[in-house]
Amino acid sequence: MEENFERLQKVLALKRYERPPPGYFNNFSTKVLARIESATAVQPLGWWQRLGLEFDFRPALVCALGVVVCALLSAGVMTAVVGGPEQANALNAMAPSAFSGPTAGSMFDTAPASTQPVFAPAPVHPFGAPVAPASLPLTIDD
Amino acid sequence: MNQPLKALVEPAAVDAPEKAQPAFPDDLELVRRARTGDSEAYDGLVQRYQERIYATVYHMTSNHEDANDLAQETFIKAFQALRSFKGDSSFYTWVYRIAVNKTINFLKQRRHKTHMSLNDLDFNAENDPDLVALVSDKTPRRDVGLTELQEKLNTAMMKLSAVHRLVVTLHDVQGLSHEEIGKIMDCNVGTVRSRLFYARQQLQAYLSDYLK
Repeated sequence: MEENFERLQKVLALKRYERPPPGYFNNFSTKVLARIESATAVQPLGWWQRLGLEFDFRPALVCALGVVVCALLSAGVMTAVVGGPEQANALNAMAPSAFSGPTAGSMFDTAPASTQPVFAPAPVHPFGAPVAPASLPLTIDD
Repeated sequence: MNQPLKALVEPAAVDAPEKAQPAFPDDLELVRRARTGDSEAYDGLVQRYQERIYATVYHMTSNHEDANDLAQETFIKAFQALRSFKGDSSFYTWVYRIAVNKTINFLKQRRHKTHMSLNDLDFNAENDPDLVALVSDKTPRRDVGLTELQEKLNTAMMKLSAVHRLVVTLHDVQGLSHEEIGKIMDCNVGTVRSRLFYARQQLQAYLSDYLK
């Protein structure tokens, strides 16, 4: 196997004569050490580093964002599940003041008093007497 | 910092003869000192292996500028990783492994962008009888000069895969044993031999015109 490549190995020997420019190795190690020193040069410490609180901000920001998103989601779920009836009561309590119709009652616990739109002006009797929507009987005639 | 290793070591021996150190401290001693921040000790290690590391990277890349960068980065990386050097292998093998990994990664990234920047041949090449015979009138390609042969050889080398080029470089150019190459490449001797055989076959085919 070796003999077959004898001539090739002679050609390969040519590579041993390839030399870098003269004097190249004279300051090679100097350059290496200079690069090492510049890489490890002491950089001024920030106040957080001096306090020993050095940490990477990026994961911290991601973490904080995650916490905020979780908190918002939790708040949303809590409001939907626990706060539902309370909100309804609160709205009920607000209803009379919000809808100033003479007999405006609860929007939720009574059937609609009228088929008129809620904010529609109260129907006016042809003879002048106002008709309260709630006073109309809700009857379904068969 | 830039003075020869001998000059680095001798003053200590003169100043403190009772603690006379060997003229050339071994690698482990220099590693131990370099770990404690002794830059002169690391300077000694760099000077000891700079030519071999540079040559390996150069023969792998066929480009002086790339070889310069990679050789420097090898020693920087070695310094940064000095604490992880356990001494299971020699420092020489360890630093070689760093150089080889760096070079192979570099070649993977570079892929098809092969730009050769060859070093000049030493004037002694013209006095090498084997090389003279290769370019003498008796060869079929007698018109070829050493510089042209160098170019053809490097072109052929660059056609090999990185691992095959590495085996040829370490064995046929730098003269390392199969065992040493196995340690550097982290493979067994059989793999080294088979890679070497395949790489030589390939090279022989590429250079057939110059080997008749």
